[in-house]
Amino acid sequence: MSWEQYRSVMERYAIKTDDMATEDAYFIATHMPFSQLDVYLGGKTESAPKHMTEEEIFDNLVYNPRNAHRLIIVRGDNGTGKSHLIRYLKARLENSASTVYDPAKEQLIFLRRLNNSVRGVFSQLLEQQVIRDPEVEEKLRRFVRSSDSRDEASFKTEILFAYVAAVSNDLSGSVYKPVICRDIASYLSDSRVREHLLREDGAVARCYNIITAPSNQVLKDTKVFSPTDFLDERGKSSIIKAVKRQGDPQASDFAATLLEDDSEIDRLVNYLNRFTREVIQRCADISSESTKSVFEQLRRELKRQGRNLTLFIEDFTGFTGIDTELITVLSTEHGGDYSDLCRVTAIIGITNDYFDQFRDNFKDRVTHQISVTDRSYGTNEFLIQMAGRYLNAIYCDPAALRDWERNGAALEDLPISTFRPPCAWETVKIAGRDVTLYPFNSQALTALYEGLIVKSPRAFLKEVLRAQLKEYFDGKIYGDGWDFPLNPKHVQMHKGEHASAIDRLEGLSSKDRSRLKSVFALWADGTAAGVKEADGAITFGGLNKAFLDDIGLSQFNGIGAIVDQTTGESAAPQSVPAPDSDSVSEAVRPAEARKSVSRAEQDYIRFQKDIDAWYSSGAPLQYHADYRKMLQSFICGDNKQCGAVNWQDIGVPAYVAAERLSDISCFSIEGQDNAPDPEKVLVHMERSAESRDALQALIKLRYFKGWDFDGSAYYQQRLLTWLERNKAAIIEKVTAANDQQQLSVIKWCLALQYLRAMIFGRRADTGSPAEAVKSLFVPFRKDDQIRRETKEWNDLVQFVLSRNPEFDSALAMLQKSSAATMGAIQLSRDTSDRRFYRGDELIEAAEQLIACGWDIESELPADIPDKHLLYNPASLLKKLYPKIRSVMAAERKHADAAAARLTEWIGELNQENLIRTLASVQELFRTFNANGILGSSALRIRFEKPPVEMARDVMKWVTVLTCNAEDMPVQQLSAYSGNALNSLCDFLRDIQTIAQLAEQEEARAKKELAKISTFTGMEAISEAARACMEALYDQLEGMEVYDDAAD
Amino acid sequence: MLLTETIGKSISAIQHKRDAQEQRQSDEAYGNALAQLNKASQELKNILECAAAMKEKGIVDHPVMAAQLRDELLECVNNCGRGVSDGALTADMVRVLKAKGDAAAVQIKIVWKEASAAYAEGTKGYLLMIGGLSDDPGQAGALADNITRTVAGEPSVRAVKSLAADVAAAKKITEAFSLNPEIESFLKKVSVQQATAADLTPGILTWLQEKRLTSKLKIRF
Repeated sequence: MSWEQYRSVMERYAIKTDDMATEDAYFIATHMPFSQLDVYLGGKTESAPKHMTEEEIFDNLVYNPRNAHRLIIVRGDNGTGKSHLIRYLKARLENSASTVYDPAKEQLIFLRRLNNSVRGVFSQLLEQQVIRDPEVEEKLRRFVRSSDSRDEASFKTEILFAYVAAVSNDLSGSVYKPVICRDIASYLSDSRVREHLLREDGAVARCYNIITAPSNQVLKDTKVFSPTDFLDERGKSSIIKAVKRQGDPQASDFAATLLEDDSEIDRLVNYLNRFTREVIQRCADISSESTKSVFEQLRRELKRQGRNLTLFIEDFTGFTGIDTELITVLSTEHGGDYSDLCRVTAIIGITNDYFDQFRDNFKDRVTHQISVTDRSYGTNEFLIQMAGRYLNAIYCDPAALRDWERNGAALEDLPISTFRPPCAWETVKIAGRDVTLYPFNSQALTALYEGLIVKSPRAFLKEVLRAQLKEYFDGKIYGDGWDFPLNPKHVQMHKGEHASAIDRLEGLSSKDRSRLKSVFALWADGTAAGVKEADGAITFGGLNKAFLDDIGLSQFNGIGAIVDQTTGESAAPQSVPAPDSDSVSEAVRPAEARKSVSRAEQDYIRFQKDIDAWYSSGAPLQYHADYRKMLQSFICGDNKQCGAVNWQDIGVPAYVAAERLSDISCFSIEGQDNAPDPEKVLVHMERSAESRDALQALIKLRYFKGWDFDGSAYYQQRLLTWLERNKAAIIEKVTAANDQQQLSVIKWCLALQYLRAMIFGRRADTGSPAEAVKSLFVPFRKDDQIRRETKEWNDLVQFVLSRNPEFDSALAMLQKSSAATMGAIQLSRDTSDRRFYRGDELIEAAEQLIACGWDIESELPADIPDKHLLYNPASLLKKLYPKIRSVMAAERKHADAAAARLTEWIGELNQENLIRTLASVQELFRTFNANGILGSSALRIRFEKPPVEMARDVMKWVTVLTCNAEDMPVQQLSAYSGNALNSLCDFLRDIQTIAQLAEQEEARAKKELAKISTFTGMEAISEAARACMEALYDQLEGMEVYDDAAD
Repeated sequence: MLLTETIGKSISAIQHKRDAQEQRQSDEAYGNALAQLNKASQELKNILECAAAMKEKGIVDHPVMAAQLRDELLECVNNCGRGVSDGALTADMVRVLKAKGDAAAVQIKIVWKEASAAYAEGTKGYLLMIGGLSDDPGQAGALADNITRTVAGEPSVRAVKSLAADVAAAKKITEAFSLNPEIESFLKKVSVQQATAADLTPGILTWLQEKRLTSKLKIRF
């Protein structure tokens, strides 16, 4: 047979593309017996099931020699093989001996899964002459015919109005009160709602599909209404709002109800879905009774004929609308009151969803349930066996297969294809005979099955076997443009370096390289390790090279050396780049890795897959945070390893590098889900083979905790290659420098320190560059004793205080970025924290700063990135200089005002006037002292110094403050830093106080003087006294006296 | 205004005030000294007048002030007088004058004690003896008391004049009381407590009975 024939057989017979039923020969030839089916008694599932094979089910349930009533449902998810099982059971019954199945006594009806719309069901019922009532038969024929010929639009409108009518007529009040039902009917009739419901794939279209689905379509869902039918395309309630605003009153009222609560829409949806059955019956113009009568009449007819009924329904979904009636009729047990009815054995396929939806219809009527679960088909052996049967059917001559089916289809007689693979290939046993799996092997089949989103036999057939084989056959037919094998889940090779080497193969196209990796990942052992077998065959990753040749990959000749299995020697490859020899012999690792399940290994494998998917398929990187951390450790170093870049040696302060790269967001990898701010990214890894290898190297480094693993040299080389290629860019980013611009970080930091010192009024010795550097290498703190005169300066101090952390960071940057890292020997000798600095850089920076008066505002970069370690000092300086300028202007203005005020008190500010004034002050204090005037002792003490000295001080302040440096604010800052303004203002305040004091005391003296009175009449008294004295003198003089000497 | 000017004005005002205060104090001291001088001179004048009155009334018959004291007093009065003239009288000057005046007062007082007693004793004793026998015994008694008080009191012009007047009045009473010499001799003995039983002569006894004085005289042993 030709490749075209194989493909034709596959698509037309074995795994059909149009979902039509396969013909019996292929059905039997590819049938895989279910080995473990769960069987429940009754309609409930609480009790534990019995496990049966399909043969046991046939023997115990389908074969019904005692004519027991049986209503059996076969449950399972979509694609699990329910239909297949039912069809098998039907075929098994048909092909049984007459003792088991006698057509004369048993009416067998088989309703296929296809045509499972209402129309399809009716068609099959008509075809199989189930309907005995001529009137009903005519109605159904009319419906089938009309549904074919009818205008779709009018039919859909009829469906919608059937719902409206059903709602409008609902007087039960079970969900909505009748008055609300009328509102709903009005709402559904609104033109906006109607248009939305009638849209393509809307609720009405779904109902239409249920009723009239084309014969080649499979109906999968019987729910007509969903919440989307009442929301707009964006999931918003714009339609409801529009109806509320503009609809008729009843519709508007109900729209308002829908807007009240989100659950109202769900309530409406569930309510409307209840009417689907009624709507379908109305549209088909069949009543519930007439539906029931179809099967009742059949059963009565069969009873009269002395026959029984065995009914196989592949999928019950198509009976929507008449399902309840059918179940009711089928569940009616013959005998007793129903002795006119024949015995029924019904085997009905139902999806689990359908069963859950209408559980109440079944649970009390069903006699048995058969549940098809993944245990029934999900084992590797089942899948491989199934693949073998299908492959054999595809490779077989159709005529031979049909002959076999006609001759009884005994498994032991199954024709085995004559297809011969290009090399020895894996086979499976069917009835003791080998059937090839080519071009699959069990590993590939298992891996591809595991990659399915929905794991079911149907998905396996369609998405694995048919899809892969189509590509294989196409490749073989056309010879070029190979797409085989498909690798939808992007399973990656375990041996990353081999994958990397394949990516670098120049002789292969990108697609072929990708195919090659898929083959090695899915078919082989995950490597491309080449081995020369004892028979001379060459295998790669365990795959025969002939297979690669067969699928158009003949150009591949291996990665690295090919090991001769007989000699153990290696031979050089022919045309491919060779990774390190030690990397080739890791073929066993994936198998080993699969055995152990340690967390580290799981992570390692997870990371490998993630990285491969990222590179190979452009998938987003799931674990980029881990890789970025690894990258960070690699470049910066951590406590386990030193960094791969010796920053100090290349002139980048290690501190700067460490700080700049400390944030993980500085590292980005193309394709990471949350893309970082490009401005912040310092290390970027593009999606490339080199990056892929570098990442692989990093995860291996982490997993193996070092570079001691097979292939380590290769990965080291790949990682370092990546690093070297990106190193310049990284350094440029880290240092934020380039050929045009070198950042003067040290100079900025020194300037910041100097300005902070000056603002705080601290001393900084700037006599020489070396002294300046030394004095600026300390933290400066605010001196609370220093009081500044202007609000502007105090605000500036507050500004600096509020940004002390930034200033401290600048100091840290200054100290650390200029520190020279000493070797381990030096550190071991000197355990103190003595530091060594790169003095030449510091001194040069200080020289430049001194030369320009510490004003480097004009040198600052025009564009300064925000929150950038290296630019932070410049950013701060840029904010500081304008402030200094305005502060100095204010200070100067204040100083001028103070000097002017002082002139008013002292006269022209010169030494002579000051001395005279100060002497006068001292005289005043002496006068105070002499006259017992207390005054202010503190003030007096301040003026006790010799006037000459004080005058000299004042003149010094005045000179400093009035220096001609208005256009040099930083120089002015330096001059003003010593707080001369405050001293001068203090002096002025003292002078003012003294003047005030003098005036006060003058006033007081005058006041007291006014109080002092003078004596009057003193002269007269004196005159009287003098006269008195004269009289007295005369009296005395005239007085007789005795001479006491004589006594 | 320059600070120097402000300070100058202030110092000047303070100085001015101080001067005024000192002047006031000086005037007060001078006034006080004048007042004290007035007092001291008035006292001295009284003393001098007292001394002159004592001489005039005959209480003393010799100068009562030592020449040295008078000289000293003259010097003090002269000093004070000069001080007043010069406006330089001080409290000290006045105090010296007063001290000397006080010394003169003490000297006069001593003289007064002796001279006044001597001057009034005989008259007063006789008055006392016969007072009860006089026509107005009450007046006689009062007069005797006045004399006693005046003699015991401070010397003054008034005291001198009072004593002289009282003694004169007493003498007038005693002179009006006429007795035979025997009785007068007896009574004088009695008044000085020198009378004895031998003096009780029949004439005396009769006179005593006649004057109903027998029960008034007591004999002591």
